[in-house]
Amino acid sequence: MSIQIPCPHCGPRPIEEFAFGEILAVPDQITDPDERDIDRAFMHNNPEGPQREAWFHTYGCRRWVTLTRDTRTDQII
Amino acid sequence: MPALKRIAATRIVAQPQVLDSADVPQSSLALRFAADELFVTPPLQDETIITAHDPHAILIREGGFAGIWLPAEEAALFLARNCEWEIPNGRPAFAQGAVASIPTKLWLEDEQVLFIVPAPYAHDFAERMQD
Repeated sequence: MSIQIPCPHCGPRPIEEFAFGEILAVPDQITDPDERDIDRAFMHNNPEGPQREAWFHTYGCRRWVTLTRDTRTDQII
Repeated sequence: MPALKRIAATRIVAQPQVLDSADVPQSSLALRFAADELFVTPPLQDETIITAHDPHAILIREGGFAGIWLPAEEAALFLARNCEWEIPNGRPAFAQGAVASIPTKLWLEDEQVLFIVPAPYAHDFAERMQD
């Protein structure tokens, strides 16, 4: 049984129905627009623990689902 | 091989509360693809039932889906083999998700089930129904 993602409209669905979309967060202390672009494009976080993520329900309602996933266990919190 | 037929419909994107209270003709089949999206077949004749309440609503004629009705027993067998998620128990019911690895909308009635897939997948879906 694959990981189930709770889609608010369609209900729980297997993770294979979704496309991953990272929630990109650029630290506020980076103020220069070019540096913010570089940070957004290349300096992705790789956290160990809970992470906010967006998943696109490609096979269902075709809407974004925002959730928190623990990267250590793959549990949706 | 079962043949899926193109479905003529109106696809509506509007405020959820407007779709909640939309006075869709009884003879039409209205499927709620998302909170802010409604699929009505046959196409709406009177679009003002939506536009009067939401002037920013988007209504387009949709011909990009194909569908097939299957008897409930046959549908249940097919879904048991090809669907990983739980089908709703109540009838009538709408559900959507991957069926045979193809994005599928289901309209479940007591005696029959309507399978709707994006038209480009219609041939693949028909083939997988035979497997």
